[in-house]
Amino acid sequence: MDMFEGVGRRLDEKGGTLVSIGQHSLNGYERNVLFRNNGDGTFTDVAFVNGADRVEDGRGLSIFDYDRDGQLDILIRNFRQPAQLLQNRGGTGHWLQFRLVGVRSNRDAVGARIRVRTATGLQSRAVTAGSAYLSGSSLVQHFGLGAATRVGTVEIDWPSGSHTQLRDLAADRRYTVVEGVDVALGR
Amino acid sequence: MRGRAHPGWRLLVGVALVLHGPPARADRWETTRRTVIDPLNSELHRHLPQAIKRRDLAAVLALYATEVGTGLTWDAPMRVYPQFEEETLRWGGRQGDETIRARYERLLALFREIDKAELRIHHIDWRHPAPAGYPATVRLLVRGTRADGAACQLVQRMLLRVAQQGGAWRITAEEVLGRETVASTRGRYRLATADARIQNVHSNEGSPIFRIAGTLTNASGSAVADVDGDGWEDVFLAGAPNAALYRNRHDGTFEDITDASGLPHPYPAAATGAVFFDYDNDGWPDLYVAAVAGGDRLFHNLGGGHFADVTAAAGVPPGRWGSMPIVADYDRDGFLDVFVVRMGDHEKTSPSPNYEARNGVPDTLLRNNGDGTFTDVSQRAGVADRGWGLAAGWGDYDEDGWPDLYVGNEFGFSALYHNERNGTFTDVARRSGARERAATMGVAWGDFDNDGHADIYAANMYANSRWALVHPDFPAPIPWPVRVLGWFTAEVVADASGVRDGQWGWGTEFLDYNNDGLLDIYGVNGFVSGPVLDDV
Repeated sequence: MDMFEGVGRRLDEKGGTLVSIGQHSLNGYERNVLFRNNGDGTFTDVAFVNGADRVEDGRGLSIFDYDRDGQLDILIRNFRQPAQLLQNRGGTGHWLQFRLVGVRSNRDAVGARIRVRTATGLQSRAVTAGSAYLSGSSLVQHFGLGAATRVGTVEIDWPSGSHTQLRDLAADRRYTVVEGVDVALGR
Repeated sequence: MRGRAHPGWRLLVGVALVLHGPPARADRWETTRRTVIDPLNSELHRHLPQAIKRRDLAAVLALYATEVGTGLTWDAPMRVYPQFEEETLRWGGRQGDETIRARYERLLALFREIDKAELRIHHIDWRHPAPAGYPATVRLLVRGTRADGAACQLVQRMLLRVAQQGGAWRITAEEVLGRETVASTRGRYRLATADARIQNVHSNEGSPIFRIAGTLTNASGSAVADVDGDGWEDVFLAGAPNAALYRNRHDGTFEDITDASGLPHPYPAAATGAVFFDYDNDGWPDLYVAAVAGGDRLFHNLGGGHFADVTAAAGVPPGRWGSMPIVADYDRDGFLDVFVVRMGDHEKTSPSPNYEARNGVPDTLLRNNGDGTFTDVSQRAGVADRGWGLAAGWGDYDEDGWPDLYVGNEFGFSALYHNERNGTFTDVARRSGARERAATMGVAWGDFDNDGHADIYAANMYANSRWALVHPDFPAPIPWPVRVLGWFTAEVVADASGVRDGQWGWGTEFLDYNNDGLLDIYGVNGFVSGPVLDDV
């Protein structure tokens, strides 16, 4: 059986003619979700109370910090509707960003792994290019630090196999790290 | 692993077959739909939420054939997760009888205004009818404004009994299993599109029309990178004809520089996925744009955000039914390679067999030769996946330094291709526990539990009891929206973690929106919203 047949017939019945989905809603008007990580293995949807529960038919999605305020913003590519930019207005919580420049590795350092240790524990990220659906997010790696204003150690494993270790970095900055140079340039 | 996935929809299909004997399957289904599913949907999905939104207590109570409910009472909520900006209250103080009337009075008193009420049916156990009715696991969501002005969302998990009485479905019993509210007086996000001067409505001319309905074309994505090297990230929005490149002006606004950038306008192909990456290691982000029709394209950034179409010169095959390009240096030669996940031919064929389809257009792996050209190595590498794919992601799940590849197919099993370090890949999805027959629409890798190992979030179709229920073949694989992968083993933690119901999910991404050191998840969703509000 053609898997779409039932859908078509259902629509026919309602409209009496060949139906275009343009008139009907199929899982329409759904609200985007923002799952807050509660830190205990559970998540809570906080999209509505944070003004992030857009109702359009979302498809693509890019995360970046377009205004460089240390708060991650969201670009949404909707289907047949306007693109949208959700600006993160910020709150408490310190942060740190890294832009990695590969030398022996690919210049974008895609595949590099960063581990950040603070008093509260470990975080890890891998640099990826192409994610979500149809989209690419920022190559800049963003770490929230909570109350921490300094980071004890940062370890970077580059795709080439080389390794960088950085110590005692001040928070609330974006650092550029060039492969082979164990210094983070803040700006 | 499927251990925690509940088999509700399949049971529903099964019962429909049992109840209605051997005639044509579609007819049987139609009967079930007309007599059972539609009326039940009307009562639970439509009437109850609408009555709540109208604050019409009488109409709410008319849907109940009982006056008293059990389970959690409204007494003694506790503040949980006090570390977060949002106030989270959880009920769990006392269990006992409570009148349905009192329950809804308390609920309505919580909100000064109600924006939206929704009842999501997660599972109806048709196999176990009882005099009191079928057991139904549901979630009630109510969103609105509290008396103190805070935006507030209530989520209440319930076990209902539903039975047909006098030609209508009624709730004969209600047990509240869980109740939480989350509230905030200051939302983190604001819609900044207009201020940022991004004005782009998606269209995709030239896209084939999907057979599912008359006008449905393919979607397009977005990508960000600092294309002109000024330290601020710029925005590319794919689409046709109006693909657009917006330059970041450092003051919260953007300007459309599509024409000046040398990118084609109007865009000449039905564009789908897009990604910036520096394929020639010259320090300038280049752009790959896949297409469902009209050909994939590679644009070389000549410097300063000026692009030239180098598709042919670089040996990039136009391909067809492309969905999404993703990038990694899989052979670790220092040059980034491109994998393009591809759909099936929606014009000429259907997925076969539906959710285990192997008749899709093969995915493509383009090896970067390091001299500005690419070679199609899909077959040799063993990643010419024949599922109908929408989304994929590179991640090094076994942490050996070699990028592995997760392919989420809409129709077809998902695959986890292990990088064998010799230019070939082996699908280890079954062995690792990451193999799912799920309708995957979006993929993201991220270490959400901070154990140092990358996990996977896969956004899938999740249709509750809506239109997918109308067809026997559609609902089967729907409820697996999440997979999380540890080191060489995967465990589906969707139910335990509370992220199963992302609705009809598409793009999804990990991000730490509140800078607390824990990766959160943002997901966009919705299939098609038309002027007729109700889903068919």
